[in-house]
This record gives sequence, C-alpha cells and structure tokens, in this order.
Amino acid sequence: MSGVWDPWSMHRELTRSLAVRARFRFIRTLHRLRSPRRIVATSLTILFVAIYLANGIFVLSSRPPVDPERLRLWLSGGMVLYTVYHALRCAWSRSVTELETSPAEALWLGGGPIRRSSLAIHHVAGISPSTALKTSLLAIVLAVDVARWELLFVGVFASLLLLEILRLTLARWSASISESARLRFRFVATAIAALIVLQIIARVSALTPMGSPTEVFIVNTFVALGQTSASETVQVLSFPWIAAAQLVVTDQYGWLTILQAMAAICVLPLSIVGLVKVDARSEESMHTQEVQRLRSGGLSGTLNLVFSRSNSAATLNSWPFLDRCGVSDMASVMARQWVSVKRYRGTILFSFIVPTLLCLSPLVTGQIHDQWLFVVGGIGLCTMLLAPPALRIDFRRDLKRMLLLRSLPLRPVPMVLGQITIPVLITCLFQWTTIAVAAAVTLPGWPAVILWTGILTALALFTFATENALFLAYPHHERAEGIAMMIRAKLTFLGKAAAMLLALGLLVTWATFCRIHLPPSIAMATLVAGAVIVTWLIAILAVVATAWCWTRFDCSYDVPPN
Amino acid sequence: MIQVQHLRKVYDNSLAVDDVSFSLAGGQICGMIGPNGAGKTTTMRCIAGLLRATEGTLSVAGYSVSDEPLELKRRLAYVPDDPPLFDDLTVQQHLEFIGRIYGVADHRVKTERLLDQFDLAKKRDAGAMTLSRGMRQKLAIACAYLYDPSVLLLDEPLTGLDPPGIRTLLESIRARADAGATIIISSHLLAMIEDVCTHLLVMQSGRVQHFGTTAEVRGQFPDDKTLEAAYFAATSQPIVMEQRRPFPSMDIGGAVS
Repeated sequence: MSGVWDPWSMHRELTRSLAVRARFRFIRTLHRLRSPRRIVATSLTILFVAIYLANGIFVLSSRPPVDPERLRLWLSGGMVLYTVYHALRCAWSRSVTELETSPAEALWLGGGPIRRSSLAIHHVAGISPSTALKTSLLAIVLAVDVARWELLFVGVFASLLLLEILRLTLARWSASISESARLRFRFVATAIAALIVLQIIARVSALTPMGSPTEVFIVNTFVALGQTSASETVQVLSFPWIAAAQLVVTDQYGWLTILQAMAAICVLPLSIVGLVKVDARSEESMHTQEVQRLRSGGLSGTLNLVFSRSNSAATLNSWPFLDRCGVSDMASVMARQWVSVKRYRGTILFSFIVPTLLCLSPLVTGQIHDQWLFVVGGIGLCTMLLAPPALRIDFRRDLKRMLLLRSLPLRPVPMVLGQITIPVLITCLFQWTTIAVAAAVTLPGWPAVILWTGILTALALFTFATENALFLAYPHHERAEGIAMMIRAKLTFLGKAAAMLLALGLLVTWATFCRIHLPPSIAMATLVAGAVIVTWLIAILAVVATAWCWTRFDCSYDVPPN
Repeated sequence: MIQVQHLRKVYDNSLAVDDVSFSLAGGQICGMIGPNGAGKTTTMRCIAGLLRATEGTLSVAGYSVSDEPLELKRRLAYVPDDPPLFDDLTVQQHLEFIGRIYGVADHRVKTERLLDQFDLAKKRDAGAMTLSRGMRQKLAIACAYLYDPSVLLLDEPLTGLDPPGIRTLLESIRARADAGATIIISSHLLAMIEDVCTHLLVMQSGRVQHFGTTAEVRGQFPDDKTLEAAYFAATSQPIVMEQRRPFPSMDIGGAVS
C-alpha cells in the first residue's frame, strides 16, 4: 500500500463503525420522536412528510414535465452556482476545522494509526446517508420530469455528493491560505458572485418591460436564474456534473447510459483524491506559515495571551440609562451580546446591505401605486426569513452554555429580553433605514409610515422571540445538519409563511372594517392605532412564551446529542 | 522511549511552547506540572502527533512524529482532560471500535478485563452521552489501555475520578511502567501523583522550568517539605535564560535514570 492510502481492512473497520453509529442514532431518534416533550415536533414532522409525499404523488405528478434539456442544464449549472455560493462563504469565513471531524473523531481517529486520506473517505461516507435522503426528497419533485427514476436518483445523488466534497475541499484549502491570498480569494469569489448577480439582473431587465407588475419581476427572476445556469460559461464550469446531469434525463438504457453512469460515479473517487491532495498541501502550507511567523519574531508568549485594551472585545459596555431603569440584569446580558456585534460588525453590515437593496428594488420598477407596499412587504419577508439566520446572537448560539445561563440570577423575562434585544434593534435599524428611503421616494403619507414602522418593529420582536422559543422548545446544535434540520427549516418556513398570510388577512379585514363602520375622521387613526397595538400585544405574548420556554428548558432532557 | 528536542509550537500569533527538550526511557513516569496555560497539553498533543510541531524533533519508541506518524500512533495513547467520546456508541462499542482499529487480536477478552478493572461492566450498554465525567474518563483510559501502548500520555487523568477510581488508575500506571511503558501524567493534584512519579517536568509560560528525577527537582528546593511547596517555589521564580539551563539528566543522548 502506498504512503497515502490505508489498506482495505482499515476502511472496512471504519465503515463498520459508521454502520454501528448509524444504528445507534436511528434507535435514539426513534426514542426522541416518541418522547412526550417532543410530541408536537414529531406530529408536525409526520404531517409534513405525509403532505410532502402526497403532494409529490398527487400534485407534482400531474404537472407537465419539464423539457429534459432544460432540466439537464439546470441541474449541472445549478451545482456551479451552489459552488460559487460555497466559495463566497469560505472566502468570508474563518473556519479552521480540519475535515470537519467531531472532537471524538479528531482524538480517536486523528490520534489513531489512520491516514488522513482515510479520514477524508470516512467523512464522505458519513455524509452519504443524509445526501441519499436529500436526493430522495428532490427525486419526489423531479420524478415526473424523467423516464427512469433510478437514473434520476443516481445522477442527483452523485451531483449532491460531489458538491459536498467540493465544498469540503474549498473549506480545507481556504483555511490554510495566507492573509494576502485570502484577500485575493475574497476579491475573486466576490467578483464572480457579483457578476452572476449582475447577469441575472440584466436578464430580468431584458425579460421585463419597465412598468410591469412586481410579481412579473419575481417570476422573471427565476427564469433569469435558470437562463444563467444554462449559460455557456456556467456550463463550461459544470463539466464535473455533466455526466450526472445527462444520466438524470436519459430515457433509454444503452452502452452510453453505462458510460454516463460510470463517469458520474467515478468523478466521486476522483474528487476525493483531489480533497486528499488539497488536505496534504493545506497542512504543509499551514506549517510553513507557522514557521514563518516563528522566524519573523514578534510573537507573544502564552502569558501575554490576553486581549489588548485596544481590542473592541476587551471590555463590556455599560448603559447607565438601563441601570437607572432597574434592568441592570438585562443590560448585563445585552452587554455580552454587544461584544459579539462589535466583533462581527462587518459581516452583520454585509448581511443587511443585500436585503436593503432587494427591498428597495421595487422603487426602480417605474410603477407608483404598489411600490410602497412591495417595499414594506420585502421588509417583512426579510425580517422573518433573513434576519434570524443572519443574527444568531441569542439563545441559539448558547446551547453549550445553557448550564451557565441557567445559573445566572436573572428572571426569565429579563434573560429573554437581554438575549434578543440587540438582534431586534439591529433588525429595526435595517427596517427604519429602508422605510425612510422608500418613504422619501414614494411619499405614502405619515399614517402609512407610522402604521408600517409600528407593525414591522413589532414583527422583529415577534420573529426573534418566536425563533428563540422554538429553539428552546426543540434545541439543536449550532452547526447541526442533516435531514432533521432540513425538515425543521421547511417546517419553520411554512410556519412563518402561514403567520404572514394570516397577519396580512387580519390587517386587510381590520382595514375594511375601519373603512366601512367608522367615521372617516377617525378611521385612519383607529386603523393605525389598532393594528400597531394588536401586533405589539402579539409580540409581547411571544416574549412571554419564550420566557416560559426558557423556564421549561431542562438541560438534562433537552440538550440534543452532537 | 520519548525524546523531545527543541520543541516549539506557534498558535496564531503566540508561542505556546518554546524550546522544550527532555527525554524519558522505558519504565519511567514523568509528572508534567505547571500553571494553567503553561503549554503542557500542547506539548502532549505534539508528542501524540495530534498537533504538528512548528519546530523541533520528537520521537516515540524510536519512531519520528513527522516521518513515521502511523507507527508512532500504534505505540502511543493520549487521553486528554475530559476526553471527547462518540455520542453514538455505547461503552462496549467504544472498546470494540478501538480494538478493531488498532488490530488488537484478543480485544474481547481484554475488553472484559478492563470493564471490570474500571468498574464499567454495569455500564457496558450505556451510551457515552449518559456517562458521568468520571465514567467518561475511565472509559477513555480503558480504551487507551486496550492496545497496550508503550507510551501513555495522560492529561489530567485524575480529574473527576472517585477515590477507588484514582487508586485503580495509579496502581495501573505503576503496573504499566513496571512492564516497561513510559508514562507522562499532567496533573494539578500534586499530592496524588507525587508517589507515583519517577521524574518531574515543571513548565511555565511554554518553557521548561525544571526537569529531572523527582529527587533532583525536590533537591533544588530543600527547604520545601512537599511537592506542592516545591512547585510553588519553582513556578514563582521569574523565567530567565540561566534558569533554563538543562539539568544533567536532560542530556538527550543519555538515558535518564
């Protein structure tokens, strides 16, 4: 055996361990599903899976199939766009996890007589089951578009697994590059992503005449996304996925099918070889950089390993105003959150620039009468869907510190408010900035500005309170992945969409009631006051519910396994 | 059995371990002591091949960490403080997994013996997540003992153990050293390890403050009656180059006895 690869017996043992661990996890998952504390989540999951399957069998199967050529281009080009997205994430994050091993794997496998190539294969083998499940979900949606579902499964599985290996390779490489190389990588990745976005915007502009209703812009954005995936440049870059994509749309078996299947599958071991080589080079590169830092001097000793006074995270802020209001306990929790905001201010700012521009984009459509509503609608969507994942500066990052938080002498409501106030305020800042710009352009009138500012601010509080209540009721680890997280994300999305539709329906009903039953002199004021008061009451109820979830949280029962 | 020459390790912009050198022969038990952040764990991890040394030469049982890491790892066991375990394996499955990975021929027999020795037999089917801190420590040590390594690196192994567990562990450490193994124990429980150690390595700020046989190091501080008192005396001295002169027993080429 060469110096890079372990003998087959080692892979056999590692595969056996994966199987044993998978069996353990399956049994544990069944136990957790049957647990009375999780009965609501279990019921919703079962309901979701049933609806998903029923939708796939009875609704999606009756839709007209997509043109096979378009499907093929979409599949291969879509993977390229995903790779660009992952490259952008790698460029702007500073993760240094080696091959994404768990601490136990790092100790017992990393410390054992196992080559790093085996660790890489072990990791890829470990993510294969969740990739197969994702493939199954996607196959249900695409089954009507293809003639051979088994080839669809093989093609999509190979594509998704290859994407995952490439993501891992990019992450491993980017963790080891020098600062100057990182700057170059950031520039290139951002430039490519920006060019793709510009291309999509250009296509949308070409497809949609100015003055079209905004929903036409939304539909055409998806069309433009598909056209960009199918464009010549993206297709050239998609050569690793071409065989898999071709396999998906194959309708008859033949020698070519066998060759395509072999090519689609063989690209996986080849990509693993690439990962192993990149891993070896990264390790060497990191060592070289260490040696250079050592020889360049200027290193601090271990005794000096403390934050300097100039570091923004060195001291906690104090807010005398909050102390005077008798909420010094809440202010202390907020002060800790503020440290994180200062540390990640660049990322947070970047995360909100794009939503701000997206929300303001209806202002350039040339239509006057619905611009304002589309802007506030966009703000509402961003508040519910984008702000929570962008600002995880609350309970969701504290699963490992729950015992510590529990031991603090804080009542539930101040604890909850201390945790969520900073992200809520940041979201409000985004909302108010966008509303101010939109109001200056569309001049909707003070009642509309007050109404929507009041409602959306309450929505921000409601969103973060609910997000944290859900987390406390059904906690998960910060970087948890897999099918359970995917179902959770879909359920949360559906729940948010339902809540938004319900809220919109109630608002329209209330506005109609005010217009019909109240004198015109007080109708507008009542509409605004009533809507704002009710939404704030709901937001306050959400905070109380979160406080209850915090009181209910039990470290011994609720902390999930890694 | 263990040879460390001019080990240096850089983390980001700090030097965690600076020019550490020492050697230990078979049968010796070295107590690695020093304040928090002294570089003890980093040194152990570099010897175990879990961290790559920035500079320096390290070898274990005649195998170089950089050139023959697999052969080295076959002969070495490292048990960290609060060892991470697979949360999806039971106690017995942990031992079976390690037995298979290290190719231990009679691992089932040894597993039974170790489960009894460390009072884990009743917990054999329990998931690792359900174990107490002390039980996790015992399981990790049992895993390390399973393949009879010739070098053992134990980082704070006594933390979390109950008194019988401490006694079992210290007895087993003596027995393994008697059988020829080289053992390094990092611990702050100085009174506990004082009797078992043949050597002491005092580290401070990433550097070796003192190294030698227990008697030699204690001899440097004749006024101090206990190891704890000697430790305070040793670590309260400022680090200057003169104090980093090697003891006679630090001669890398010669066996330390």
